[in-house]
Amino acid sequence: MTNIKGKVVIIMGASSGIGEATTKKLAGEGAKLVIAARREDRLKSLVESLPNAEISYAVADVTKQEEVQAVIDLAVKKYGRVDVLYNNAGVMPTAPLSATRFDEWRQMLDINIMGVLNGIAAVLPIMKNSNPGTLLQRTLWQDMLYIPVLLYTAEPNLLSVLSWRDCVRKNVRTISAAQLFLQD
Amino acid sequence: MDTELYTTVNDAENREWLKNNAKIAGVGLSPSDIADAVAYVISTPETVAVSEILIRPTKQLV
Repeated sequence: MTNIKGKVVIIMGASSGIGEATTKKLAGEGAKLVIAARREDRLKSLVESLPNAEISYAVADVTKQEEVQAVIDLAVKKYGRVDVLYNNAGVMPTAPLSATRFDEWRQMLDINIMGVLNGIAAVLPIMKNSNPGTLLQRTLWQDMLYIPVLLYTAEPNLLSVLSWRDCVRKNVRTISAAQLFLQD
Repeated sequence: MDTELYTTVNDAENREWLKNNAKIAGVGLSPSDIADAVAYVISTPETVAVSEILIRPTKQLV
């Protein structure tokens, strides 16, 4: 995978799981990395386990716009550009809808949606001024042109995914109306 | 997924289900399975855009 060598990649949620595995994989392929998460001890030991890699870490909570901005700024300061932003941080506090866990719903919106938007907003000005960049999301790849569509569809998508299992069990019928976007 | 994602689930039944299934071969995926796909996406030339990749453990129905 020669195209990875030298690419500047930022990975959010890198302290464990997929973020950690991706950090190791891309470090092995010669990418220039900036990794971020909330747990500094985990980031530090991950960086120390990769002595031959070009890698820095920053402590950041994706729900905090200024902390996400600082991660992007670190990459620009170190490498002069950003080629890839991997918005990997996320939570999945699933529970029956009938449990009405409002705090968890708010947390999902804040981390899984606002967290991604914080990353995209911080990196777009950089990507627009350099080589074509790549944005990678956990469950979907999102081109910057489609952000308004993402916001518009987030609610029905969220509802259709959340509700089917819970409601089918309780014999509640749910209907998701999909809308097609036609390009002029 | 054999990650720490299950720790964000507070519902006891869901949490145990996720935690246990993630480690069964063909039922759960390892983080490196996804990392390999991410590396592929990044490695493609600028003329190629990958819209989405659907990855599932072998024993999971589509």
